[in-house]
Amino acid sequence: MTNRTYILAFFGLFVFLPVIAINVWNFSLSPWVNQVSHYNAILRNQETTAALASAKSPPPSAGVATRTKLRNVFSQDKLNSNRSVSLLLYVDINEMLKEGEEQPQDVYLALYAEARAPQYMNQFCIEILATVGTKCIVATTSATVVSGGTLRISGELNYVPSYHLGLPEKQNGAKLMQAEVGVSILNKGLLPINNSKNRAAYLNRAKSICEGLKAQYGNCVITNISLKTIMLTANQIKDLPDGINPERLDAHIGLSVFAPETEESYAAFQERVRELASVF
Amino acid sequence: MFGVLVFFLLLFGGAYLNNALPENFSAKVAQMGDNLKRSLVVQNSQTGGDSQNTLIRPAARPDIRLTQTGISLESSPRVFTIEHTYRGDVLPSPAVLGADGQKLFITDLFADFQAGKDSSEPANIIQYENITSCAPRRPASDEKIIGVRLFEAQEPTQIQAFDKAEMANALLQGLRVSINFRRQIRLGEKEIRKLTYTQLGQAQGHMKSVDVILTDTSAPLYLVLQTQNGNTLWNLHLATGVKLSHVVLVSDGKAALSGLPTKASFEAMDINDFDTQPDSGSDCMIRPWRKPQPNWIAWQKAQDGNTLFANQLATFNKGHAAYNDWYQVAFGVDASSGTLAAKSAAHVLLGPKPEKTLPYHMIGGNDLLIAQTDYLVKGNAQTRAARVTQLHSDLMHAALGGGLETLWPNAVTGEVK
Repeated sequence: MTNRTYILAFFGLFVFLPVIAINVWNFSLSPWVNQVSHYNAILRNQETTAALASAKSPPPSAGVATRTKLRNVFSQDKLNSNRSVSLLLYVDINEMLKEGEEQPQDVYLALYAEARAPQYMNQFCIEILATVGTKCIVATTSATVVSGGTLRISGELNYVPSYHLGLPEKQNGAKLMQAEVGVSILNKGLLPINNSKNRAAYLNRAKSICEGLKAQYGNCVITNISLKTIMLTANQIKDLPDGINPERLDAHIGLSVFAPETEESYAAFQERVRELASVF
Repeated sequence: MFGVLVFFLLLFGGAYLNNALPENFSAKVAQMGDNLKRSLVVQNSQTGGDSQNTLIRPAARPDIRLTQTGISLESSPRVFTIEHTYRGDVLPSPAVLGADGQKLFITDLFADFQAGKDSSEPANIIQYENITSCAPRRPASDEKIIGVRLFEAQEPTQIQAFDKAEMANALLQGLRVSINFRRQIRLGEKEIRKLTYTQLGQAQGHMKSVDVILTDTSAPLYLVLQTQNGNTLWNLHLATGVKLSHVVLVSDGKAALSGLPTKASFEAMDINDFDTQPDSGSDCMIRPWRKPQPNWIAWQKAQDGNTLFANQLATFNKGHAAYNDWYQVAFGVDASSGTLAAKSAAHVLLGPKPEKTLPYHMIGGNDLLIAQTDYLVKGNAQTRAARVTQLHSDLMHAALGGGLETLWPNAVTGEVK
């Protein structure tokens, strides 16, 4: 082969490969479109909710990105980054060490913390399985040394919902509407202590709010639950009883429904989320 | 149907275009290939069959212009290449940086010099502490102040030096990238290639050497060796009659010194121990900024009206002015006094060319002074690589409290009541 043949074949590849890719991608979508049409037919024929529950694919939407996202958000069996629980905790390095293990030199603290953060975060999957999930995986972690042996550990856990998501129905103008709401409950001006019991309470609360939205919109997903430790400052502590636990829990919940979106409907959705969050 | 059509177009598109395009286009493409081949042949003929003194660098990098200097010696032509970069000249071995633009070969100074032969280990390694003040010993009135100012050294040595903090940081950075990126891949249920400790990153601390040849016998010498980078090993060579009274090292990080005469004193300063922001008004602005010179490409670009390079030069000028202020206070002379500067050089001659060649002072087999370091790894490349990997693996294993698999816990399933 001559130089020109190689160069021109290469040029042909660049021009035509994207066309082939688009063509093949379109082809692969066909069975999915048929599947969704089938589920919509079931819906129209008022068949059993059991049949609806088995529907795993959301309807097509305006864009490819939205369609893929919808499929992931409403997947009842796959882990993905669209459903997560974010955690932020302050931890003593000793909590991350094995029994009898020597504390690392200061110069290695950040490395130890980063290296052990995934295993440390993994323990919180149990809390998720006990409340909102059937499957959980540590998605991201990050650790920094705050001072001395205190570490700031944050992470994101992805989960497969154990609660029923409902079925996102194909409707004109339907979009994935999202809202975020703070749900922290103050007691005498103080956030609750960050412990397992209080975290579970917030996880269950998120589920209740989502149930309320599902009753209205036919579907709902808790897209994110943020459980963050807020440390009381020395100034705040000085007016509080001795020995008070300075690690307080702040919670925010992100929720999504798939429904026709207009300016009014979006405002109504936000309002409904706030209403549900205020009832406890 | 459309897919089939595209498939055939893909298969035969190149061949079709080859025939369908105008003949002059095809001819141009063929010409491009021929030109490429010809240029490769020229490069090969320049580098092939040469003596060890020939050095040709590829001229493809747009930021570098090359100057070749040829000197006939017996039957074999000797050539060295000076790279003119944006920020000054780079003189790789065998070129020697000398005063007044002297163009010398290292073999003009050392008959026994053999590139890459200084491979044995130092006899004794003595770790020193940097001074904490930015006021080194004041030169005596009879001492002559000379110096070398480089951005960095470049000749490889068989020594690597790094600290625990550098090792932890290298692993930490690798870990941060690797953990979350790989976890995202796994979430997409794609296969993850096995990760090894070495892929996380390693502290290197390769020490690079510069030969400093001292031939000035006119007065006791006070030598100031300066690099804006670290990991520089200065190897001193003294001609007969040279009296070296004191050496000051200024570097950004670790420095090392070989060939220090027993009677000479010595001090070292690490830039990181001082406030070296040119704007800060610090009395200890010891970062050795070089003064821009007309042979810098950046200088030429600035002259052509390029404001980007003009701004860069302004930064250099400002940095050098602040450095010069400190230099004058510390040594009582201007920073340019008796000092040779380049972006990088393998060998530097301070003084006149000696009438007779000198014996080359080897790093191997002699004492080496080096800044305090947690880990010092010596030996050939293979030995050092194995040792460095072992050190990092041991630390990572301890940090993990287990194997690398602990970074990616498996998904947890089940219902917990």
